[in-house]
Amino acid sequence: MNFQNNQIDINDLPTIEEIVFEKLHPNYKKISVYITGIVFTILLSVYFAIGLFVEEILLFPIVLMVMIGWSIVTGLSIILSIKGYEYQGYALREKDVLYKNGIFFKSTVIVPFNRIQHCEIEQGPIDRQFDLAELSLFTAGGSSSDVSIPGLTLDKANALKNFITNRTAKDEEE
Amino acid sequence: MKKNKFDFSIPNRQSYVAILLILFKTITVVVRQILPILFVILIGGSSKKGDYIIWSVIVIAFLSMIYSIVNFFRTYFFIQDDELILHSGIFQRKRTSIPFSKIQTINFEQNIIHQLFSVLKLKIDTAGSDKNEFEFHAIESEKAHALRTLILREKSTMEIANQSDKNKTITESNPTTYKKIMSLSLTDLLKVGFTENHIKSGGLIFLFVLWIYQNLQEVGVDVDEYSEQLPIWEPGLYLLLFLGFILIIISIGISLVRTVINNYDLQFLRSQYGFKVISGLFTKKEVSASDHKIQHISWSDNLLKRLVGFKDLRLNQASSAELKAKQNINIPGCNEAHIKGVVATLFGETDFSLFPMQGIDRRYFTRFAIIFGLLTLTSIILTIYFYSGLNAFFIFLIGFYLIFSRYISFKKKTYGYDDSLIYIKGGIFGDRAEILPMYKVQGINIHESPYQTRNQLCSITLNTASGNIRIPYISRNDGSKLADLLIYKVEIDKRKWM
Repeated sequence: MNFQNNQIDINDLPTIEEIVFEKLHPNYKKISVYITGIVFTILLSVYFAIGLFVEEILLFPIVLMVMIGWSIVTGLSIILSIKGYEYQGYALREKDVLYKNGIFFKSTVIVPFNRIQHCEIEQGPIDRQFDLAELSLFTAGGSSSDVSIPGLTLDKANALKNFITNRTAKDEEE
Repeated sequence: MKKNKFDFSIPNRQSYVAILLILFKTITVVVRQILPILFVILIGGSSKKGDYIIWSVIVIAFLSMIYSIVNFFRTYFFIQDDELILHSGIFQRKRTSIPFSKIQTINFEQNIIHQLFSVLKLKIDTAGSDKNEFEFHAIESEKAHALRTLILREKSTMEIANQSDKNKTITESNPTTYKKIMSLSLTDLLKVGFTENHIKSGGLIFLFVLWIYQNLQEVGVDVDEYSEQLPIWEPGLYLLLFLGFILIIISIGISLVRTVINNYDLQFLRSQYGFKVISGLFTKKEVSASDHKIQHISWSDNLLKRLVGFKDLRLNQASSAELKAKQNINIPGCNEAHIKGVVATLFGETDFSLFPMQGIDRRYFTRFAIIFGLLTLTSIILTIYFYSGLNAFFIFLIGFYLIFSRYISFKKKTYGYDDSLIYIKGGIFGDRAEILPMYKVQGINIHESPYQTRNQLCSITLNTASGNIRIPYISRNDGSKLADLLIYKVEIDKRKWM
């Protein structure tokens, strides 16, 4: 009989503290800046569109204040999305995948391969311009343990997906 | 054997009682929609708009009733090659098939009409997040039981065929013998009702009043105008006390009625592979959970329940997000021994007093107290300045309550683990405990707020297929150690978790 039940010392377990995270593709920084820019441009145009009907909000002092406020918020958001890139990263281990993000409020998600239900690759219109893609991993634990790794080249996303699917299948066989 | 009595290989129709149920449903829908309007007409509101609404409700209900009845005659189910097949639809025929292996649970439900005609409502839950859920409104009781037995038997034989032959003994035993764990007598039921959270019932009353108010406004009654016509009362202290007293009485009454309706004749049963709960006054509900589908269990009480020694036990099952509420089994009125028994059945004999329990970091409280203390203080000063001392006193009470309850919840929150289980205790005025087998974890989330980062702290969320469990404010070192251990336990475990 090939039964083993060695005692495990918690301090000897592989630890997540020593993991070196891999950065997302540098082009992803540009994408986040573009997306932030587009969102804020839409917001501004909504404001002007409403102004067509409600002329009071386009009067001189108000419009100036809105423009100044808008520029500050947009500028900050763009800086944050550039900065945020530094804090995003993923790591693959033999048996699980990790993803971290957040500048101020940091979050790290760990999902074991043998708990992944299925994987998906998504590519938005802007992603396509840069040949990047987002890999989403779904678990049964609901949305908070689902992982989405953005900013991967399409090739890499496919390779990761195959790697993870193989791992998941292997686990099921055993 | 009974199974020969029914032939499921040919198309079967539901019981004709289903038509009666459709009629009944139509009537209730109509009545429910019309009731507020009738109320308005009775008290002499404008009836023109009301008439119009009544007629449109009746016409729509009638049409949908016709549709349902025709659909009833066009709906058949039968079994073919280990699959349950359903044909339905009037204009567009739909053919749905569910392989037995996908079927998770088969639950029965009986309301008064069902009981009169001895038929059952049959619900079939399937795995996966796709909304592939079957519901038959009425099937003859015996037939439904035969169908369930047949499917479950086929399913378990299939599973055994897939596994190795080490579990062969399972086939020989009869899967439908039940052992009673507990049942609620009428006195127990009343005790459960009296010790419910009455604040929740009070909230329900509030919602009900709001609902009436909105419905009245929709049909064109100006409620504000009526209330202005009322004589202006000075809301003296006695009146307020009286109203408060009435509200408490009604709240307790509603809790009681709700408890009796939901939990009348509750029976908590143990079968060989799972648990089953049957209960209900008008609608007899039957929910079952097999052991491997239960992800984590929890129990809780409140101050009143502690007096009578009752706890609410909850078995949390894995299920798709849409069905979550329906899938969890709630058993009120359990005592310490019952819970111990359930824990022993599910996880083996476990003595939780031996668990090395750890508290959470003090800053969970102090951080909150400082922020909310300052907030309360500023609002008190502003309120005194602009309004009055009485308003400020209420704000003080709210602030004090928030900070005080945070303190208790900090004091009570502890967690501990052994080789295979995590045990988390907490609660504010009541006690709350959760047990999660480590291998059921689906993913781990480690959060750090800027404050936590500065102080080497983190909060951990354990994601399970039946909801999240959170351990806030522990040292980063403890947190990563716990995460390492859990991930390890999940990754080496080959057991089926769902």
